Amino acid sequence: MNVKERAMRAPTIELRDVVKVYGSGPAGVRALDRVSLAVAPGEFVAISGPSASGKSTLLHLAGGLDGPTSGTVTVGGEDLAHLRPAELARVRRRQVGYVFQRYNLVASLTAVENVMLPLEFGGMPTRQARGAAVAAIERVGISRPFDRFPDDLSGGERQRVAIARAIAGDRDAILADEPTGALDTITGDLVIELLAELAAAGTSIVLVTHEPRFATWADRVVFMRDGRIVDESVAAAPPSPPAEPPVEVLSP
Amino acid sequence: MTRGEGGGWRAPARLARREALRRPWRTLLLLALIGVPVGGAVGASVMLRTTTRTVADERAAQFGRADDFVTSNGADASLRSREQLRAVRDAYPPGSRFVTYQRGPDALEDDGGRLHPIIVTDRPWDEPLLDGTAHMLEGRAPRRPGEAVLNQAALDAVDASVGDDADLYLGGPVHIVGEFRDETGSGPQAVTADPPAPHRYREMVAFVDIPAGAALHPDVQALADAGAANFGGSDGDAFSYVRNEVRDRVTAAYVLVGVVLVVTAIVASAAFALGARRQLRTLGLLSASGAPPAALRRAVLLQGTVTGALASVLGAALGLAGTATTRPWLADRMDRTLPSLRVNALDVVVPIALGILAATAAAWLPARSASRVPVLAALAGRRPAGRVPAYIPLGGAAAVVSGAVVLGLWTRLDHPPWGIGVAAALLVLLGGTAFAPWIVAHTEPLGRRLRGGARVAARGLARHRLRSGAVVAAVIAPAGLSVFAAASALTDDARDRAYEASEDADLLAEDEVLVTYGGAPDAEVARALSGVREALPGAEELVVNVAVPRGAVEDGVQAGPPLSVSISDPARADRYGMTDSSRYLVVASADGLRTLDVPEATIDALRAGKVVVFDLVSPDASVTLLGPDGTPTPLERGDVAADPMTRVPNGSQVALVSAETARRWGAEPVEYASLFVATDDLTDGQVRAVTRAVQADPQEQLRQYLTDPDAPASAMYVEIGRQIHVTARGEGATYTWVAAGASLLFTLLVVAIALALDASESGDERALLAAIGAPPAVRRSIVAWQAFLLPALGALVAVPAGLLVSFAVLSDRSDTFGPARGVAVQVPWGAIALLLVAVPLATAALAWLGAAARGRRREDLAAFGLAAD
Repeated sequence: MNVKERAMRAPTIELRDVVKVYGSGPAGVRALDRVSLAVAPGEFVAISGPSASGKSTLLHLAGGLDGPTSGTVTVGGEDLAHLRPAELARVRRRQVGYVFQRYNLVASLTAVENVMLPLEFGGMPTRQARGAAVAAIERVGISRPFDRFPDDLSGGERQRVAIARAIAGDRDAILADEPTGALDTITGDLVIELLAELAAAGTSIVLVTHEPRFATWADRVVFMRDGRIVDESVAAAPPSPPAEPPVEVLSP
Repeated sequence: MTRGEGGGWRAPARLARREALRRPWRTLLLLALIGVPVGGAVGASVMLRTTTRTVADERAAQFGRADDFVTSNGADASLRSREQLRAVRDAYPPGSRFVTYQRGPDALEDDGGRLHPIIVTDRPWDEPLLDGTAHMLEGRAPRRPGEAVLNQAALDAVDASVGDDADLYLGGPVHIVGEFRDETGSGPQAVTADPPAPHRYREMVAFVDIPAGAALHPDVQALADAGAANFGGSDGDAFSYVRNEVRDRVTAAYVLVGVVLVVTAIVASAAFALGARRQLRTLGLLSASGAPPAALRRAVLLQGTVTGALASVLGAALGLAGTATTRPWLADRMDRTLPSLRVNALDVVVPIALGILAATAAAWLPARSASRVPVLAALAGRRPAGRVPAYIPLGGAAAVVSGAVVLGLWTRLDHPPWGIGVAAALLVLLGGTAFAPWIVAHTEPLGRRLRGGARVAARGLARHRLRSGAVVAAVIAPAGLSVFAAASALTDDARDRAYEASEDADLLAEDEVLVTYGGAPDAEVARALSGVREALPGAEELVVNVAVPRGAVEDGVQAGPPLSVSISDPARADRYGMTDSSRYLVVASADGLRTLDVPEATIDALRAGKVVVFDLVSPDASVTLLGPDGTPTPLERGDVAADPMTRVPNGSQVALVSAETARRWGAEPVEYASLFVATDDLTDGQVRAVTRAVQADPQEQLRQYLTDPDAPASAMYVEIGRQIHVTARGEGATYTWVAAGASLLFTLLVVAIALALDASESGDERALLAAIGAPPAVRRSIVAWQAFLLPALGALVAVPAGLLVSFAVLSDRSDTFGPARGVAVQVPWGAIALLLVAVPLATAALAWLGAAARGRRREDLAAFGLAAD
């Protein structure tokens, strides 16, 4: 599916004129300023930019982890602002998977139990949830046994389990916030490759990253600064930085 | 949302179970917090049921399997001989079966020749009718003459055991072949194969098996009325006191269990809240993974339920095991054969259910608030700390005040329903704990005024308000109880002392000795009185005569009870708690009364034929003269003169009449006692001399009692003013002190556990301080200040709340009498100082030492995340 074909389809995630302000009054911080972004089904979007540019905030709003000050965020056509907490939970459970920088696995549950969590929350019977979780774990390339606790896994394995949890249940989109930040280069490459494979299979991917080389895997790269999208490029070739001032992440 | 979405209970249950197993130390503390009171409740209930005799137990102990038990009534023994027994037998329905044995007094003689009184019987051991009245503990029953079995008290008296020989003063040498236990719990006893040695008080005892459905002869009822017979089970109300005792004790146990578990729930709730911050990250993660708020609540709630269930079941098992283990020891202590454990299902199920409920309820509040934390804040492990809403402390204050008012009104009811009392106590406890977040929030401005470690500590408490508030809340409930228990103990004590001090005024003065001998003095009494005269030279001597009905006087000696007056005075209820009192009539002369400095008005009243009472008598009082057989004759109120100002020996127990009045009422003055009034207060030497003069050798008295048929049945009795002391502390107050001590200990335990939990949750903060270069002394100082502030803040709320309840409840003086009514509620300054100062200082010192002992290496490891969770 090419870019044009994707653009024809309804976006999986769409942000329209989104503003997010932390705090209030003079001390308020405008983290996002009239940001609009649409992610098509199966599209791999990389978001890059300097620290405090609003990348993670954008991801939080897209995943329904936080709400905008103004503007709309829709997932699968549903405006998240109109959803009750339980309905928001359903969106996170069935439509959007989240991958954190530091794995965020429940330490007291085994790898397979961590992956089973959203499935069981969705009402899937335990046996069936376990089967789906095992399938997801195998898909991300973790070797058996799956009943190991997070403390017994390497950093790369933990992140893959986190990705398995995000994809289990065939979600429409995966939001990954610096998923390689705590990994070595080789393991990081493997994780990004995995995300790209998922995108090729039809899952929308939104990746926040500081690493320019990971952006080359994306269909589209979005640059942010001071809460605004300052540039977008289709990643047929490595994206070019904005003209002025230079983006920190792309500096040698 | 489709059916089944939300995840049900499986995932939350798994998470709860895994979390409990992952942090064993914290789980163990929680298990102890919940399991100990549940185990105690189960153990106490089962032990109460096992040790409290039922009607059937009581009946079996006293009657065995017999329907009736016949014995003599003291000196008027109706069963001295088999002839008398035949007469009794004829009174029972035909077909009644009698099992009889004899019993009589004797004494065991130890190696030093000292005698120990004992009752000897020849009860049969193989008679089924007597089953349950005694049990053989060791050895065998006596079969041959010269063999005996002794009970524990008898064995202890002569330091003997089974297999030894012993000497009965009357019965001669016996070989001890066994040890038995008499279930009625009477004193030293021996059972021999041969009848007890002849003695004037030897009697027959009969157990009667009455044919079913047989009507009792009226003579049997007459025997019962005379106290010579008892009906085992035929009278439905015969053992109603046992039923009431069982009911009262079990109810009291349940009330106690309820209050303890409420406090436990508050403390456990604090313990769960302590771990809530750490759990926030997990909850945030679950939320980000699509867990709905209900699933988050379940995840935390189930931890309470799982922990509560485990703790309650373990606690109940331990309680039962402890009860089973201590049962033989208790049986020894109580000198009773206890049945196997009586486990009523409710005694186990109710505390377990309450334990699970308490733990679930304890986890509910943290679960509810944790599920409301925004996902991102939860993921970051932080909770938005807004201002404490004003309604929380205000609501808490309202709850404390209204609970105290309800408790105050409740205690004033005649039959207060215990459920309302527990509910009001719960209101006070919950209201007090509501202050915790408010008072913790106020450590922030306090921190600005402090320096160094104290500043960091105060700010840290305010910053981690949830955790600090949980510790403070955990301290408030038991500390408030401690204040109330200590105030109760002090107030009870003060009222007891006030009452006893007022009683002291009625007792003998410091310069008086009263020797009672009941009848004309024989040679021994004469010798004793002579000795007293020598010990108290110059003392006035007054012979006390009582008014004895002429029919009860034989050769000038009293042979029956004297006349008495009964005064029923509603006004006495205020002082003595009862309206009726009875006093023997003492015949007084004008000269004798002048010796006692009695006012002339009293002497004139006596001459006028009035009864003189040395006490206040209200105009509403009614006075009755009681004749020799208890026949009442009403007197006019005007026939009684009250003289409350004169001190007399046992003034409240006697009334005076003149000899003329006594004779007019058909009585004669008979000598009863001698009163000596010394010129000054008695010296220690005089007290010793009087004691020597009037106290005969008890051993000699016992020998005479056993061998001399003419020896007096009772000895002289002497009251010496100096020997009468005010009791230091009433029994009730002692129990209250025990309760106060126990609640203080519980408070200390809670403080220790809460601080230990807090310390386990704040390791990362200490590690951070270490990582940024805070010297060990500063870190210890911060830890110590926090350990000081947390219990001190709890006490700051607990003390006024406890005092408020104390004043509301203890200001009720409806069950206090006399001067005790004037004693105000006592403030337990000692307990307050302990809670406000001593406990915080001690915990601070322990925290300082603990922080020092942990050493630098471990904190450094924690700083780099190597030792942290």
